[in-house]
Amino acid sequence: MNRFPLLLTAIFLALPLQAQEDEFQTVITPSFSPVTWERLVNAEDEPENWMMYSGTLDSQRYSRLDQINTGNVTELEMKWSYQIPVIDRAETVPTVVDGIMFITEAPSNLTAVDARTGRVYWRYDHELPEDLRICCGRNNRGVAILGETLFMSTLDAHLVAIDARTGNVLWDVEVADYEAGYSKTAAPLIVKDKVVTGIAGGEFGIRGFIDAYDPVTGELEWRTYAIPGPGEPGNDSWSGDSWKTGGAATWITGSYDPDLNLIYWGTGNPGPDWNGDVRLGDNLYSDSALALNGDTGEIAWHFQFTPHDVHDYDSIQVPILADIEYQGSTRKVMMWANRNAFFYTIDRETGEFLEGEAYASQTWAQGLDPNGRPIRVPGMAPTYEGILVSPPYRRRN
Amino acid sequence: MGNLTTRLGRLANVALSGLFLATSGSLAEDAGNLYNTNFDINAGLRYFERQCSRCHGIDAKGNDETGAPDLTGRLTRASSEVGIFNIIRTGISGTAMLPVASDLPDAQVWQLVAYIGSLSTDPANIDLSGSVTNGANLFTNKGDCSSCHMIDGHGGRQGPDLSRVGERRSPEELLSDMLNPHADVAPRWWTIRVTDKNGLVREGLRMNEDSFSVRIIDDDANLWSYPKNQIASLERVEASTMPSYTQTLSDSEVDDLVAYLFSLRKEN
Repeated sequence: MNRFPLLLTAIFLALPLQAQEDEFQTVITPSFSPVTWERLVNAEDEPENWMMYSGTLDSQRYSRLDQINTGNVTELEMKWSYQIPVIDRAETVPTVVDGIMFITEAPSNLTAVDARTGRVYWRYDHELPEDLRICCGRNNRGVAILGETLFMSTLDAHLVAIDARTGNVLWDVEVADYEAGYSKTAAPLIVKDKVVTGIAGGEFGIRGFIDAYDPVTGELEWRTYAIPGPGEPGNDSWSGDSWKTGGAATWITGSYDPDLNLIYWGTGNPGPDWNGDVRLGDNLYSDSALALNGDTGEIAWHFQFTPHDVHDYDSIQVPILADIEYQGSTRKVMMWANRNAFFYTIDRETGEFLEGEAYASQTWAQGLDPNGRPIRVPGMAPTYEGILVSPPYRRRN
Repeated sequence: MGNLTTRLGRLANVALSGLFLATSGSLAEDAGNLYNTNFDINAGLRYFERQCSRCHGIDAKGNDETGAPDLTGRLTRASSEVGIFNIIRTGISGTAMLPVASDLPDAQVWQLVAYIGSLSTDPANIDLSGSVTNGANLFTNKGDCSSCHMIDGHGGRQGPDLSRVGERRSPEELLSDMLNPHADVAPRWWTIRVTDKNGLVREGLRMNEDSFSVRIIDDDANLWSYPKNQIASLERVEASTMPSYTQTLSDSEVDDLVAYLFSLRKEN
């Protein structure tokens, strides 16, 4: 890949920044170039941009910018602020591409602002029905961008494609029926030429899944359920028909390894939450990491963090991909700071459990066995009278 | 070709029947709006002008700055008269839409409902003479409208997205838009010409402007943002960049386009 034009751009941008005092110079937004798959794969080479939910496909969220460092961070001053019109949770990660910042807002709105001044170019307000089923805040976590198109989830379980230059709606497809409890909050993830996106609603008896859509037409390319159907391996980990409404929502954006061609995504708690009496068994693949084939979506391997969860330990954390030295050799791993208070290191090629240790105080497990399965402390399941368990509902991952 | 007023008159005759929201005999628990006479609509109009126009505009067309929506097209938050009544009565939480005074009699709220209902055209009552299929063809071919306008993701960026234009423009308005585009140009489609301190001139459509800054989109769909204290001059052209089609399209072709555009709305 020719890196010279990128270098030129970087230098051009750096000079005005250094010459800047308190006043803005004539602000000229650099030409917005379409975001190709190559740019996304090499996103770390454009540290001035943030082109996906976790910055890069390996979700390491490490910025290579160095203008702000430990030496000068105490001198930070506010440059501008943008007031989100609807006062609700703000769980978005803004996307920045070539001087334009795309901010998603509660409940399912999107605005494009000039990244230097916070002034609005355009906004898109998604129409929502009055009778949504939302458990935990009417929020939106961000967009994905490919080419000149933004992709956003909406609370009524739609996926919309928005033109990045004007805010026009290119297509709007129903992913699932919101009246059945389905919703969408997570930023989608671009994988090669597909828009990969999860689903929410684990508290309303959904059957979780991960979808891939054609970015041009909005057609569904594949759907992989997070709960196996009848006859599929793992379906018998649900007693009776509890698999049909078992939850395992996929409500945080995952990661992707282009070399292994694997998509990594976390799944949420099994339902009903807190009470596992009607869903005896391990409840696969709730509270798990799923590795999906990047072309077909088929499950290559899975690792379940919390079998038969009764503490709402959603495993929807961002999978951190890294190549590390492990026991003398370089290993492709996935690191996971789970809500169950354990930090896992897992081989991301095979799903083999390498290491796991509690990183926060917890009282529900004695530890993990050699396969990474938790050794439960007896008597920590919720009771009618109530019981204290750590990690608690508040202040958790 | 044809005279604009007679053509409007012809359309108006057809449209008149749909102008007033009839009492819908719908739900068992909803008797509909009993305050639906001309007197009630006028009473609603007077109240609207006094209390609602400051946000929604004297023409009820809405205001981008206040965020108050256009009330003359399809309403997004209410699908029935009872829905409209409830919004006026209770407001919309989390927005600037406040409820009316709690001691305002129900009758007056119903009069407001009647007035708002009178603003929109119920598509079911409209019978247009044009052909929707021909109109769709003209849009992409002879009319070349898609060079500037997008519909469902296809088309240009130099004019408004028309994917759901039938929800916010009546057939009369669509006709006027095509034959006399300069008559009613929203600020979003004005042209701004900026000369910066180096003498470089850049021109584009006015995406957004406030007292201190302006943002435009140029012919190549590039977005530009300027603080006003950093530019030499700014020229504002409050006219449309859209051509008039009185010379290029026949009467029947325009009717076809009106029929096609009026059919563009969200399927329900």
